[in-house]
Amino acid sequence: MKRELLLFLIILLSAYLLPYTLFSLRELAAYTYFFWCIDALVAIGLMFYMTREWRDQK
Amino acid sequence: MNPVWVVTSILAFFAFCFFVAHWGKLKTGKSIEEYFIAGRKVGGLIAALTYSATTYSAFMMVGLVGLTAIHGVGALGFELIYLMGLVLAVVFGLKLHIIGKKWELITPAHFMAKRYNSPLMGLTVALLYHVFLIPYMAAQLIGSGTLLSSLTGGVLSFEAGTLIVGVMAFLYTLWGGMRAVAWTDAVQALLMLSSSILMLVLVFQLAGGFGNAIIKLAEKPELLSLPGPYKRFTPQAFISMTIPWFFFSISNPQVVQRFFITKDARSLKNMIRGFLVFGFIYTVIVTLIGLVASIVIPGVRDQNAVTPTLLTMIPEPLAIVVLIGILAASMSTLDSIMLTLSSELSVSVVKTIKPSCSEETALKVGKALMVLILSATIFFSFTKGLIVELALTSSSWLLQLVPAFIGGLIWKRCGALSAGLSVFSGVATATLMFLLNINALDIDPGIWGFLIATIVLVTLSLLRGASTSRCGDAKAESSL
Repeated sequence: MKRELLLFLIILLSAYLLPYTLFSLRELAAYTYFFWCIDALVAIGLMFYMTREWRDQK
Repeated sequence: MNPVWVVTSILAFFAFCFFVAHWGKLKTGKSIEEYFIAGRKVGGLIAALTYSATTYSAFMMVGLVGLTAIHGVGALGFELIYLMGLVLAVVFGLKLHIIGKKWELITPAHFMAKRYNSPLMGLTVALLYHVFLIPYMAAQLIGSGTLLSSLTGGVLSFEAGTLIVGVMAFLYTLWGGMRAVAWTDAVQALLMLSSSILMLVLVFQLAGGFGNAIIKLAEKPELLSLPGPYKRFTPQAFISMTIPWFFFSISNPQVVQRFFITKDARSLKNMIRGFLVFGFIYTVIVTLIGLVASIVIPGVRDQNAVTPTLLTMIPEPLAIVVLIGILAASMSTLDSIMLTLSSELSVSVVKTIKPSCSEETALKVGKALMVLILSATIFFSFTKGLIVELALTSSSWLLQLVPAFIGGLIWKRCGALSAGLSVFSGVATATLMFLLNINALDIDPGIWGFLIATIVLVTLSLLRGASTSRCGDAKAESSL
C-alpha cells in the first residue's frame, strides 16, 4: 500500500505543479486540459488497483 | 419557454420521485438503522449511483459550467483533484465500513462519539455539520431557483422556485428514508448523465459543430491555460479551492454515511469504482459544455447565468429534459444531506441529550427539527450567492473536522481532549481570520484553520503520556 500511495502522491503533485510550470509554456498551454484528463485517469487506474483485494472477512 | 410546460414537467418529475420514494418506504423497516442507512443492505450499483448523485449537484451543471465558461480550463483541474481525493475513500473506506458494522454506527458524528467515548464530541460535531452544510444546501436551491425563474420568464419567481424544490426534496426524503433517497438518487444520477450528454451535443451544435468549436477555442489560448482570462486560478487560489475539495470524501457527512450503507466489502468496492468512472465522465462533459459555452455566449459574466442562458437557446422540449436533469442533481444532493443531518439530529443530538428516549421518538424529533434546518437553508438561499463560492465555503469549514476524524481512525494515541481541541482551534482560526479579513499569503482561512487543527491534534496526542489510556473507549481501541 505504501508504494501505491507514494506513486499516488507523485500523480497528485503533478496535477498541481505541471500546469503551472511545464504547461505554462506558450506552445504547451493548450494541452493543459488533456494533461489533467490523463493524470486523473492514471490516478483512477491506481485506485482500482488499490481496491483489488477488497473482499469480505470470513 | 412556455411556463405551463415547465411547471407540468417538474410536477411530473416530483410525482415520479414520490412514487419511487414510497416504493422505498414500503421496503423499509421501523428501526433507525433501517430508516437512515437502509439496514446496511445496499448493493454496489445502487450505492455507486447514490454516491454519484449525492456528490454531484447543481454545482456541476450550473456552477462548474459557469466557472469554466468564464474562467477557463482551471475548473477542470479543480474538479479532477476532487476526484483524486477519492484516494481517501480507498484508504479509509473499508475500515469505516467494518467499524460501522462492528459498532453499529449510523452517522459520522456517531463514529466520533463512540471512538472518543464522548457523547459531547458527537453532539458538537453533529451541530457543526448542520451549520457548515447550510451554505451547500442553499447552493442547490439557488441553482434550482435561478433555472426555474429564468426558464419560466419570471412567472415562477426565484423564491418560489427554491421553496418548491426545497419542500419537495424534504417531503420525499423524510417520507421514505435512505432506501427512498438511494433509489431516487439512482434514477436521478442516470438522468443527470444522460441530460448532460444531450446538452453537450446541443452546445456543440450551437457553436457550429465540433470542428468549428475546436477552431474557435484555439483562438482563446487564455481560456485553455492557467490562470485563466481573469486570473481566477492563481496558484494560491487553486490551492485554496482544491484542498477542501480533495478532502470532500471524508469531510462531508452525507458522503461518509455511504460507507455504512453497503451490504459488504465487494459492494463498497463497486461503489467507489463506479463513482470514479461516473465522476470522470461527468466532469469531462460538464467542463466541455463550459468551454464551448464561452464561444456560444461570450459576453456573459455572471457564472450562475451561463446555463440558464444556454437553455433558452435550445429547442424547448430538450431544454426541459436538461432542466429536469439539473433539478435531479440538486434534489439528489439536497435529499442526501437532509437525511444525513436528520440522522445526526436523531442519533447524536436527541439520543445524547435524552439517552432514555426510544428510537421511535428520536426519529420523530429528528424529522421535526429538520424543518428548522430547511427553513434556515431556504432563507440563506435568498442571498443568491455564487454556487461555486457557497460550495467551497461549506467544504472549507468542514475541513476543520478532518484531522480529528482521521486521527480517530488511524491513531490510537489520539484522545478526546486532543480531538476536541483540534476541532475548536481549527474552527476558531478559520472564523477569526474570516471575520478579520486576514488572507495570509492569499490562502483561504479554512486552509490555515486545517493546518492549526492538525498541529494541535498531533502535538497534544504526542504529549499524552504513554502511561495514560490511549483511547477513551477500550472497546473502540481494541477494534481499531
